[in-house]
Amino acid sequence: MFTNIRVQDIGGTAIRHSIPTGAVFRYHEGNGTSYLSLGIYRKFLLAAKLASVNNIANFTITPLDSGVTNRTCEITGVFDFALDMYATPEIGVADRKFTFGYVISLKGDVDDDGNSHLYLTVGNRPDANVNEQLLLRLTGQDTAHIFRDIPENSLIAVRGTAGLKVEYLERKA
Amino acid sequence: MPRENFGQMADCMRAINLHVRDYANEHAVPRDWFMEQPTELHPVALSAARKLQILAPYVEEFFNDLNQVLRNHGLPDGRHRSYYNIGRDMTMQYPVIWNANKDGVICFPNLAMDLLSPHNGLRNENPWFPKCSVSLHQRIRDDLADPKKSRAWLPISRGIKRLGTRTETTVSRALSRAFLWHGEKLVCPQYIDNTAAHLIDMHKPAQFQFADTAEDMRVMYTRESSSETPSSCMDSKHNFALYRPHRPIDFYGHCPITKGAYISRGGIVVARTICWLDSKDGQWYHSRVYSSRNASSSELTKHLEKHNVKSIDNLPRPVRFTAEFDIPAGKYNDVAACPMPYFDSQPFDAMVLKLSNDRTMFHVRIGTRNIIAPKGEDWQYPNLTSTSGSYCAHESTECSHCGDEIDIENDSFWNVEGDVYCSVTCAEECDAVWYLTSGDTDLLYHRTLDNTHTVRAYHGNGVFSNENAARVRGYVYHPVPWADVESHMFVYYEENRGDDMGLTYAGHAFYVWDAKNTSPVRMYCEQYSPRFAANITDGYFMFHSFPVVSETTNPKKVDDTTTVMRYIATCDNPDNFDDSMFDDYLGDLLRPHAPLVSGVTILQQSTNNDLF
Repeated sequence: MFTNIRVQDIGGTAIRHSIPTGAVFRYHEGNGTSYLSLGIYRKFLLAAKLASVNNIANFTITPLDSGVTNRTCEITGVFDFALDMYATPEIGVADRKFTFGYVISLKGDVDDDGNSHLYLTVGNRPDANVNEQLLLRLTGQDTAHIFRDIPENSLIAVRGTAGLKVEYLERKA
Repeated sequence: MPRENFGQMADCMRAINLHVRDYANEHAVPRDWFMEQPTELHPVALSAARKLQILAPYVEEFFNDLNQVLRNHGLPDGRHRSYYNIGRDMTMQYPVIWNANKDGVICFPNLAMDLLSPHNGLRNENPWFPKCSVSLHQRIRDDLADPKKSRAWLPISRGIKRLGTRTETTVSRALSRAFLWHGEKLVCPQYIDNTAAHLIDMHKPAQFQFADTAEDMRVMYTRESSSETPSSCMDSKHNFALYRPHRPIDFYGHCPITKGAYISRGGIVVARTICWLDSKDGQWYHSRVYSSRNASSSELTKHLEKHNVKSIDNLPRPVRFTAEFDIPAGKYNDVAACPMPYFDSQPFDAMVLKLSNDRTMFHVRIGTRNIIAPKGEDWQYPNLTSTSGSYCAHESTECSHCGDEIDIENDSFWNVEGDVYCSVTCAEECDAVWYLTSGDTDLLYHRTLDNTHTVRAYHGNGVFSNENAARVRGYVYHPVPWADVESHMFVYYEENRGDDMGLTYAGHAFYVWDAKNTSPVRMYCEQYSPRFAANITDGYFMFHSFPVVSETTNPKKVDDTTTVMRYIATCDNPDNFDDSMFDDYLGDLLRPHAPLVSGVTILQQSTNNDLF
């Protein structure tokens, strides 16, 4: 289970803005579409919307003032990120139009033991600083602040790709 | 009905017992630490399960009817739930089904049920793993184990007969004894009697009636939180720019060439239409029939055929109706207001009206424009597609916001529910919004809108009457063109005003509304984001996406965007270059990764990971 979701949350209901990162949820009295909560970045709700075909989940960026923030949701499961690491990482610079769904590490960004933090690229920033890259951190202890941004032309190592493993669970009676 | 075969379950139970026995032997665990699954069912328990499966469709039928009545007429706790079923809130203690005449019910009191609700039916009831009949099976087991109580079930034929005991009774008595609301019996006798009456009325033949007067029309357009009554923007659930008791549909009652026709069941209008009279030959025609069920439409159509009322849609040549009549003036904001419905069918060329000198009556003419409204007679043309419900007569007035003088005859002005404004900006300052239906636009006050189904535009001063209207009339909004949104967002872009809303046009392509619906639409994004064009593939908007992989699927097999890399650095003097310079440049970029956050796993370790 990714970061903040707990097993005991599954089967419960929550207001959209309080849904923990890592939860699979759907809107109460909605059309049944399932979403994967990625968290809140500045004034946007970030998530992925499970499509009914092709085994993909579309990345979603929804403004906090869109009217969905206070809607009631049902938590139906959890999801994990599954990383497929390259045998040989690729060194490069972050392009202006950023790619999506790659696992990267950054120069000078290591933990206390000197190990590189891994990040998932989730495209450009969705605000006025749109030329910068938005990243979702996949390593480390801090699960409260998992988003960070980097300027274009940052030196990066592309170390793999990421997919999603979605698991729906039923709450035990 | 074929008998359910539960024999395979016994085989499964035996297999489980065998597996447990083998496990106990293999691990030297005492056998009595495990509970052995029963491999046989008593014939009475089997009979109970079969009886419940036979009764399942009839119980569902009664529950569906009860559900309909509760949605139409209110729940036991006084609330209304028009759009959702009663779910698990209402439970049945034992099966209750309609009798043959559907004026009473048959109860099976010896088939005691737990949690039997519309949500949790009997169709899949299984004696091995009962859902609704746990207590019943437990009771049969306990009674059979007791020498004294077992006499009630033995011999087996007596037990089976006992299970099938049936009692025919009244609907009221069944509601008071067999049904629980939130686990409690229904307590209000008045509510029980009313609900029972409504249930019985549902199966009575529908009554056909014509609505000839304004009062009759008001009855025809009454909707009491009912899903059975077809909704209308002119029905009793809406407010209009017209003080009560006047209603917009009074118009049809006063007009000599129109009348309503409807069928009702148990006092609930289930289908209706408007009829028009061709005064030349006395033939009546009906316009579109509205109902929430096709069966009701067909029933009303049959009644109309019996009364020789023809459909206006099936004529080889369109009929154009003419009429002249008076209609009492209503009031709105101290202005005389003529009741004016939304005409979704206009089988006439034009309509004009004029207020009488004593300001109590409107004189209305329907017919060909140049005949009914000679120049110089000051006839006024009402908006026939407005949903405000009235036409307010003005001669000269001042703007309700800025106070500027408006000459009604010569100046352009905006009428918002009876208030006159010199401009849209003034109207908007006073809470007016653009109310957009699929085919019409009107300025209305936001405070008077019924917001049950409306969709507010995220940008622009528009309110769509419902999601469908938003799809047809609005444009979609995404903050950025490369990402989807969780809930459809719309903007209302009023091109005539040149208001760009601070947004940027991102593209025009097909948009996937849901699994079944797509349509072409224009997309607007924040001004900063379309520096990166919308991704339109095969005519559809596409967004960044993650592959969803199973544990055995390699995400690399899923197509994704291609990584385009550029040179990260150039060496000024290649002759002077050595590996240490490159290592210095990279620094700690490729250290082994830090501990992964929970919920992140690596599918496939790289083979030469030790290099990094």
